[in-house]
This record gives sequence, C-alpha cells and structure tokens, in this order.
Amino acid sequence: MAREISNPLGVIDELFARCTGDKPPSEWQEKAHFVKTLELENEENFARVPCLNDVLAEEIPPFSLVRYRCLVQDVFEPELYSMLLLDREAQRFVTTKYRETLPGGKDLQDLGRNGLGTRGAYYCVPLPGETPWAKAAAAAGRTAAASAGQSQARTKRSRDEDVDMADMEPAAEAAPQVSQKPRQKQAPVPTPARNSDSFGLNFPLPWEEDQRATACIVKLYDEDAESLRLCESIEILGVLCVDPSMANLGDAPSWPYDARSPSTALVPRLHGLVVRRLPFYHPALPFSPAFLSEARLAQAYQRGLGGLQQARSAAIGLLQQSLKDPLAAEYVLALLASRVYGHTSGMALGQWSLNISHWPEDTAKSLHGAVSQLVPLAAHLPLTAETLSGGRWKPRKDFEANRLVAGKLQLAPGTTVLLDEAQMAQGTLNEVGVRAAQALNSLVTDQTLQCDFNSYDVPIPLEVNCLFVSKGVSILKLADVVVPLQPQNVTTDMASVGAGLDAARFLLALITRQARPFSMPEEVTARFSEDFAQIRQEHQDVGQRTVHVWRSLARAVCLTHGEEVLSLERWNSVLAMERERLRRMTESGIQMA
Amino acid sequence: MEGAFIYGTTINDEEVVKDFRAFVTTHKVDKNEEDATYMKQLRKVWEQQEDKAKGIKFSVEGVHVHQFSPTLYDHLVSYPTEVVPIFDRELWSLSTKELDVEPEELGTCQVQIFNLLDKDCRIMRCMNPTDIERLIMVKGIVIRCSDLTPDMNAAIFRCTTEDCKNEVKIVLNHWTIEEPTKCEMCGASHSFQIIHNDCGFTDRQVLKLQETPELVPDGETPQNVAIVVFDDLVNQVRPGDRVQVTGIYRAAPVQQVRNWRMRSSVYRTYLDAIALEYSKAQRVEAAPNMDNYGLTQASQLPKLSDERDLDPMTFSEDEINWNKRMRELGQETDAEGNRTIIRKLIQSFAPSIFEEDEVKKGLLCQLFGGTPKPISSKGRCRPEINTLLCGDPSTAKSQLLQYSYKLAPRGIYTSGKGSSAVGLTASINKDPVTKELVLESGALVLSDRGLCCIDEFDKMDENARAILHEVMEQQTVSVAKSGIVCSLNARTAILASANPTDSVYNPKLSVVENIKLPKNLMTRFDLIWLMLDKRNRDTDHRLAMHLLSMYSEGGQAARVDPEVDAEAFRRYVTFARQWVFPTLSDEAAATLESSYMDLRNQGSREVITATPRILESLIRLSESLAKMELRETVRAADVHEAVRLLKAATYAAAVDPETGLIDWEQLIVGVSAGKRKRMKDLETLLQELMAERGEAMREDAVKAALNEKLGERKEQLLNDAEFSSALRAAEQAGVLRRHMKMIEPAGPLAS
Repeated sequence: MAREISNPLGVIDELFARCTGDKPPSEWQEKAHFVKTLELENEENFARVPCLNDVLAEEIPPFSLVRYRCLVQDVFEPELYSMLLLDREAQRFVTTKYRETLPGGKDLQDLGRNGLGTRGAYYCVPLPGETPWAKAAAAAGRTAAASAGQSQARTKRSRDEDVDMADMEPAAEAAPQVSQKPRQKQAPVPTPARNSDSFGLNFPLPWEEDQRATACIVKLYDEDAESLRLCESIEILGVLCVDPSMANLGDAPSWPYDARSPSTALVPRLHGLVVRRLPFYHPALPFSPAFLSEARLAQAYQRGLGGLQQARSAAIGLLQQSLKDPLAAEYVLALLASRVYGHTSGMALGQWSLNISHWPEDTAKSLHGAVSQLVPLAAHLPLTAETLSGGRWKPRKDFEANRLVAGKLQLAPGTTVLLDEAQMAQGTLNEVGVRAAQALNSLVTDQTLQCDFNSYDVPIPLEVNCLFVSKGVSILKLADVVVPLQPQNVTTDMASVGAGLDAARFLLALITRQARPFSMPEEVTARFSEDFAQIRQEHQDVGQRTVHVWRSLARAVCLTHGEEVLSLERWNSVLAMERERLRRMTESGIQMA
Repeated sequence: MEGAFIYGTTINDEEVVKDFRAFVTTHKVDKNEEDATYMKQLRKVWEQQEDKAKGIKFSVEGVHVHQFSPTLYDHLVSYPTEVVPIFDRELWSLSTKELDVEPEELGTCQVQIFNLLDKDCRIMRCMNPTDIERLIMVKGIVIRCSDLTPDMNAAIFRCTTEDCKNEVKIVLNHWTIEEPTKCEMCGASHSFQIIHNDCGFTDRQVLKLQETPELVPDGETPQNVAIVVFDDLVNQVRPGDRVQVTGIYRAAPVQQVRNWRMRSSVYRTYLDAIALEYSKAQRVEAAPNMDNYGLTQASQLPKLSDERDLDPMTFSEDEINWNKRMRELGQETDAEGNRTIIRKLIQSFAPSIFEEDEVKKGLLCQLFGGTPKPISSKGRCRPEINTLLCGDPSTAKSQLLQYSYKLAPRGIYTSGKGSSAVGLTASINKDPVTKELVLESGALVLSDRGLCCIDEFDKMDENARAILHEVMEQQTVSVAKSGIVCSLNARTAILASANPTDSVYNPKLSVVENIKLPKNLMTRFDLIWLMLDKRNRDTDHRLAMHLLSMYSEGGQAARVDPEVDAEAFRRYVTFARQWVFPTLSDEAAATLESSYMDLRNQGSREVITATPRILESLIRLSESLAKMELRETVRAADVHEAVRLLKAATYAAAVDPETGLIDWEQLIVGVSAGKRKRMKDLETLLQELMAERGEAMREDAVKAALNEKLGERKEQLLNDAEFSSALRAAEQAGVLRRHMKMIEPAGPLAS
C-alpha cells in the first residue's frame, strides 16, 4: 500500500519540511502531490482508496487516507486553529494542518496571530435514502469510466468482470477493494462507542441511524475551506482522525456548550485534501462535473444505449408490476428522468411533480420498492396528520447545542421523494404540522428547503423529484400532474426485467447525472402551441403551467427513448398520454382549480 | 523619542498618553462648540454619579478619535488590550484634577469605545485570524444569553508557610492572573494558596450573536459568535434584540484535551465586549431603516445633484460604483431621446409571464412608490401604492406576487389562507427562555417601508381583514394585549391577490360580487387589476410559443434575456426609493386637476367616477412614474400616464356590466349606478301607478301594469327579483302597504 494511503500525515510533513524561507507558506502543493502520486485523475485509482461508506471507521487504521461520500448536513462556523508553531529545540517550523492536536513531546512556541489559520468545518452524514443497490455498486468500486466503453446493457455479472482488481473475490456481491471486510456483511453488534443516544448522529431520515453508518466532521483548507453549502452531495478524500486521546472525558465543556466536539469515536474527523461535488449523485457515474465532459458523456450515451429498448422496457416493467397501469408507469418513469436543467428569470426549468391518485392500497411501499430499484437515492415519507405533526420535517437550529437538527426533508439533491398520503385520514394538524406542510410546499413548488432558525426561516436551494401517492387527490394539492390510477391486468416478464435492470439504471444515470441537451424543432413548437390552444378549449385545468409541464414531460419521455430532438411523432405520443390522463381526470371528476 | 515602547507593539506609551489627553481636553466635534466635547461629557458624567467611589463609564466614539488623530485611532484598534487601559488610567487622572478630589475617593474610569470606522466593522462570516486581538464592531441578533457567572478580577494569595501568612493581591492583567511563585516575606517558593472568599469578582455573561438575515448570502445558513460581556453590560440585552457590539476579538485554546502531552490545536473565538449599542424599539422595527426618508421636513429630502449617494465617506467604492451605474441606467435614452428605463424594467419584470404589460407597469409603480410627504397639520398622505390582483385561477397572479416580493427592498410574502390576524400584525408571546413577554412583529410590521404580498387574500379571515383597514390608510398596527398597548408603524404597500368566490370569474357580476371582499377595503386599493383567463385560441397559441421560447436549449429560437438583470433591478428600485423624491410641477398640478375633473364629470350625474381618494392615487402614481426615470419633477406626461393606468386597471374592474361606464360607486356600494337608476325608475313608476289607481290591487296586476309602462318606454321588462325588491323598497319608503298578496296605497300620497 502506498505511504500516501497508510501514512498521509508523514508524507505531508515531509513535503512541509522541504519548504524554506522565513515564513512557511500555508499551502505547499501537498494536494497536488497526492493527486499526482496516487494518480487520482484516474477514476479507478480514486475508487481504490478505502471508503468510510463501506467500512466502519474503527476498522480503518487511524490517520490513514480515506474516501467519504456524504451530504453536508450542517455548516459550522469556520474554525480558528494554530496552523504554525516553532519547534524551539530544532528551530524548525511545525505545521498542524490536517490535524486535530498539537504534536506532543516537543517544546513548541506559539507564534500568536501569525501562527493562526482558519479552516472550514462541516457536519456530514451519508447520503440519506441511498438505495441498497447503489450502496453495493459504489462499494464494488465499479466505475462507468471503465465500463462505459465496454459492452452495452450488460448484466451485473459481466460488469463485475470488467473491473480489473487484483484482490477481487469473484462473484462477491460487494467486492472489497482493500483488505477491510465489507460492513454490510457484519452482524449489527452494538458497540458502546456508537451508542448515539446522548449525541444523536443527526441523520435526516431517523430510521437510518441504526444502520451503523458513519457521520463525520469534515475540515477543509485553503480555497475549499468555506466553499461547501448546506445540502450539497460531496465526496471527500482526506485524513481520517479517530483519536482515543481526544475522547470526551465525561465532563461537558463549559458554556457555550455545543455539539460540535463529540468524541472522535462517535463522529470521526476527516481532514480533506480533495473535495468533489456530486450533484445528482449516481454510482454508475460518480465523477465530478469537470470529469463528466460533454464529449465523454455523449460517447457513453451513444454506447450505453444500444440495448435501449430493453433498458426502457425493464424500467417500465418494474414500475408496472407495482402500479398495474402502463400509463402511470410511463409518468413515473418520466418523473425519474426529469431534473432541473436550467434557470431563467427566477424560474426553474424542467421541474414538475406528480400525483398518482386513486391508489388502492394502504401504503405505497411497493411503489417505493420499484423506484428504489431504479434510482440511487429514494426516500419514502408517509404523510398523515400524525406524522406531519409529530416528526421532524424541516431542519431546525438548536441554539443550545449549536447545531442544525436534521429533518426528513433535508435530502440529497436528486433524491426521488415518495410522499405517501395513502393513509391520510381525518386529523388535526398542530403548529408543527402546519409548518411541516408549509416546508413541504416550498420544497415541492420552489425547490427550496426552509430551515427554521427560530426568528426566521433560511431558504436553501434543494432539488428533489416529488411523487405523491394518495387515495383520492393529494390533499396538499401541490403536484402539477395528477394521474388517476386505473389498474389493469398487466403481466410483467420478470426475467427480462432482471436482465435489463442494470441497463435501466444506467440509462437513468445518463439522463439525470448531467442535464442532457434537448431541442424542439420549430415545426414541433408550432404544433405544440396549436395543440395547447386546442386542448385549453376543452379542459378547465389546462393553463399556463401546463405548457411548462408538457415541455418537461416531452423532454423526459424523449430522453428515455434515447432521443435528443423532439420529433412530431414523439410529441404526438406524449400528447396522447396527456389526453388519456385528462380524460381520466374528467371521468373521476377531479378539478384542480 | 521619549517613553518606552509597549512590548511587542509599535506604540509609544508616552505618545498615547499625550494624544489621549489632548483628545479629551481639546477636541471639539463641532467646530463652533465652546468647550471640548469630551471634557464637557466628563464633567456631566461625574455630576450624575452620586457615589464617586463607584467610578464611571465613559463612552467615546471611535469616529471622533479618528477625526482628532488617525494615528491614535489606529493604535486603539490595533492594540486595544494595551491602549484601552491607558485610556482608562489617563481619564482617571484627568478626573482627579478636574474634580479636585483625593485620588482615594475616586473610583475607576472605564472608557467604552463605540462607533468605529466602516473599515473596522466586520460581517461575522468575514472575521479571520488577522482580526484577532483587534478592536472590531459586529452587528447581529442576540439569540441566547447565559446565566451570570462571577469572573475573578483580582485574586488574593496567601503564603502557606507557618508564621508568614503573607497576603498578596494580584490584579487581572492581560486577562490572566498569575500565581506568584516566590514569597517576598519568607522567601519560600511555590507556597501560595488562593483565598477565594477575599477575591474580587465581576459579573460575566456570555451572549450568542447571530447574523441578521439580510447579511446572509443566498443559500447559506447564518453563523454565530459568542460575546463575553462584563459588569454593567450584563443583562442589558435579551434574545431577539438587534445589537451592535464593539469589542476585542479573541481566541482561546480549547481546553478539552486533558492529556497534557496532547493539546487541541483548535481555538475558541469570542468577542470581549467593550460597548453594546442596541435599541429596544428595534425589537419591533425588526430592521434598521435602510431608506432614510427625511419625513419631518421637506427641505431635508436629498437631491440627486447633491450626490450624497456618491459620498466616499459613507459608501464603499463598490456601492458608489453601483450607484453610478444606476444613475446611468436611469438616464439612458433611445434614438428619439426618450428615456428607455421604464420599457426595460417592464421587459425585465417577470419575463416568464406572458404579456400583461399594463399590470407589470402598475406593479412597478407600486415597487417605486410615491414621494413621502411630511406629516403636517393637514394629515398624512401615504406614499405607498396598494394593488389588488383578482381574477381566474392559474393566471400567474401568485407568480407576479413572487416577483414583486423578491424585488422589493423589504418584501414579505404571506398567504391569506395561513395567516391569522396575529401573524399579520404583532403578537405578544412568552419567551420560552426568559419567561418574559415579548412583542413579535408580524408580516405587516416586518415589511414596514417595504412591500407586503398577501396571496389568497379572499381566504383570509374577517379579523385579519379588519386590521388591513388600519394599515392601508393609517399605516399603523395597534396591539392591545396582556397589558401592552402600542401602535406600531406599518408603512407598507400591500399587494394582494384574490380568486373569485366561484373559482371562475363571472363577468356579469361586479368585482365586489365576484370576490366577497368588504367594499370599503376595496376602495383602499389604488389599482385593481382584473386578470381573466381568456380562453382564446390565438392568444393561447402565442402564450405557448412565448413560454416555450424560454427554453432555448438547442440554440435556436434564442430566448430574450431580461435587459436589466435581477441584481441591477433590485438595486435600481432601492436607489430610486432612497435618493429620488419627485415633486409636482405647476404644469403637472394643473393637468392633475383637469384630469380629475374630467374623471369626476365623466358619465351622468348619478355615476361617481372619481373620489378624492382617486386624486391621491393619481398623485402617487405620477410620482412613482417620475421616480422610475429618476426625475425629480413630475411632468404632465406622467399625470396622463397615471390616468391611463388607472383607467386601464379600473376599467375592467369597475366597469358597469350594463352601462359600460367606469363606476366607482359600484365598488363602494356594490350596486351599479345603472341598476340603481332602474330601481329608482321602478320606484317612481310604482308610485305613479299607485297614485293613478288609488285602490288596492293584486300583486300580479301591479306587475302587469308596471310591465306595460316599461314596454311603453321600450325598457327591459321586470323580473321577479326586481319586482319584489322594488315593492320592498316602496313599502319601506311608505308608498304602499302589502297585505295578503294585495297591494294598497299608503294613506294620502305625498307627491
């Protein structure tokens, strides 16, 4: 194993020692060194670094180099620390960058104001709602860079074989790339150190807290220091700091007490060398936008879509199995393929929300199951008067502990949120419930997460795909499109679904990971407008907003067919979907206005 | 140079002493003053202090120190830990001389520095290590106050050696107390023990200060900082107060790691407060006034030619550049020499909304507002323009509201559905921490001098609407609850949107009937826009094309970008509101008069087309139009445009469905003048009929006779509702009596 991985601090110190001059620089190309030596430009090498998402922190030697994929849950105030000290004995400067503590056993001289530095501090949690297949895929370290150029629409097995890793066990579900055991295989043995009762790991989805996942306090330096924003999905490469000597010795620090210095055994510190932003994260394309260049993507798009029809029908088949309605399945797939791809004069383009009404069952778990099979990030949030009034929905600042208490709506960008109203019954919303409903409203309609800062709300941009499921029409009436469900006798060929599943995931990854270009020829635009004017005469509910919804819908349907230009034919098929939907709405007597 | 340099600094002790003495004894803030400003203050402060031994607190403005000597000021902010004690000491010795008392009788003096230069004001998120140990000023909201804790300022140590018992008093120095290592009396080393009971303590409190919302960049969360306050600054503020703290930024190592070999490298930062500025009133006002209208005297209104907006003393370079750009933007003209800014603003306002340029122009007028008038004996005339949008659902009313709200300097957005009267005005709550009653401002108070957008106005409950009466005319909100009676300013423009009661607008009914709003509330809106969902194939086609043009991904059908981007737009609005105060020219006043008379005389005698309220509206609208072009005089053209806008807005809203005339009475009374005339006609006819016959008749016979008469006049025949209401009216007027379906004249008829 490279020293850069096993002892990164040693390497950093050596590089620092080479600096000469009266005042050492705050940066000495240590980041460039790691990128160069470990050849991180290559995605496969990046994937070889042990990952905190796959292995428990205590199984990784402390102070080694790790990767961590996470959501920025809370942004702390920048931290002041003594960056530079003078070793009186050796008359040498000593750096404490990437460290929590001062090196012991030396006679160190404080340099006062000149020795101080600032670094950014962030509380990060694993991506909420990450689906099991996505976790496994990420753990297996399979990258699309390696696979995109290979065969199209492969099965899972063939992908495993693509990965050229020396120590890979054949046919393992989650092939470990380092000598640590994969965490998924471990029996959940509760260890006292991980008992989070007193502190609370602050995961947005409360049921994820018992999954033995790791939360981290990430510290960043130099130009990255204050660059992260709340609710960003990121991947960090940095030095893991789990230091038993830093454990809280039982006495709470004096006021102002805060939750910002929990024991490192509970919340390890991670001193970041490399930060990558992963908006709309997908394990098949885990690269930062810089890497996902237009040319690379276009290539992958063309190649990956050879078995396109198979991929698409697998996705439809999977959704149909739960919905029993081909039309609804088309709409759900279109939703999964949608994302905001631009903003113009304050309006987000490409965003719409869906409501499947007349849901026959008491829970939408089956639909959540199907959706989870297709996308890497999905959350199932049951909505009833009780859950709204009782649960934490919007993040709230706890000024006593000085942290942002996570809420269920604090999700990673690109998450598919299934808002399940199937069990909605009569009930009263208390004040908390009303606030939660308002927060939901602004998330669905404005793509902003409202964080409660006591005297005022702070809006944070957050794009998620919202899917409402309800017995009647959604009570919250936030969805742009209502599809009354009409279950039919459809049979799904599960064998072909299984065969095309990977391809279907990859298809959605290509469409959503980065906004695909899409265009509408003029004749189609004209036709679109005519059709709009026509249908508006017939249906009360067709208004200005419908134009945007149709445009987004057409885009999504087109892209799932692997087309980037809207043809007249495709438009007609989208219109046919809409006509059928509007017919169903009239039939069920639904009026939105 | 004489005197010693203070260790580790470039300051000379003697110099500072000399400069500070000179500052107190000679500096005059106002040149015409007789005495030195601070000498006068010193005498006054001592006079007010009855117990001289308790000492005094002495406020000094940093800005004044800078006026006197930039060097002294520089020393003060760079080395406050050293310089402030020198100030304290010198002030004390000056006091002993001045008061001519024994030094023992005089308590200590504490200099409290406040109001530093702009360069020493910090935004919380911009504080960095170079500010450590410097004097800085930060603003924020207090979110938590700790309990009081005693903090040692002087310690008594006693030697533990038998027979020695030597006691030493060590005073706090550089925020630490060092235990003496060697006893002077007996020579023993490390023999001292602290005697807690005899030590001196001061009160200490830790406050937590959070950034104010307007300083937090979009998409980020507010940060906070700890403030340590001592002595008399303790318990001065409570959570929710907005304060400005002057203090020394400090960093202390986190003593979290017990193991002596391991020390955490992290520092805890905090601000040692020297002075706190706050205002209790701000708890309600919620935000400092950004636009300083000189409301009391018209002469104080700034003129653009004064260039006060370009003053480098008050504004940073960046702000001045913006202001210059705004001035240019306002002056731009097209080939014909007409100013283009209004057209540009309309084009850039809510470009995603199709057409509706008149409505957009009206909303722009509202954003800019009229000229604030001084409060005079004639009463107050509000400069704020109120607007109501009403009409069919899904006509982008909410979107227009959102746009205005985002552009307004102090916009608040609320929905009528969720907001109670309390949420709009102010509520009195018990603070969960302090258990004290706190007045919390609602939307209307928070948007004082701003814009309050109320969506779904029609869904608002009665009580909440009643409050709006007060706000829309008096511009105040009154609260009387839990023993607190107060009247808060709510000088806010109101932009409301309402849906018709039957979800779709019925063009046959008047606005009032369509939206069940109290009529007297309706008249308080300057502009009422009707936004109807016209289902017309042609316009719908163009609508779709327009909306689709916003999506130009493929590169073709290039979309039209707004000519004024959102940031510039916002700044332009703020600039115009802050610096431009148009006044009516004589010509404009004359035009205003004649236009108003025209409006009033329009139509017949019975139809009121204009009320004095409309005249006020016209003034406001013309002023706002001039303001939009950064002109300080209102021209006749502005008045014409205002009249046109008013007609455009109200034509649809107040037009009588029967006569086609603008009818304000319909808004006020709810029944159109046309209808009222017919009712009057019917009543006269009925009267005539009764007089002719002079005997009791059956109801249907009366109806037939009336219809005959109407037929003669070629008027519409009676319907049942009209007939019965005419009968009722006549009965009430004492013309007739109804009895068992029979109608008889009531006594001798008074013709």
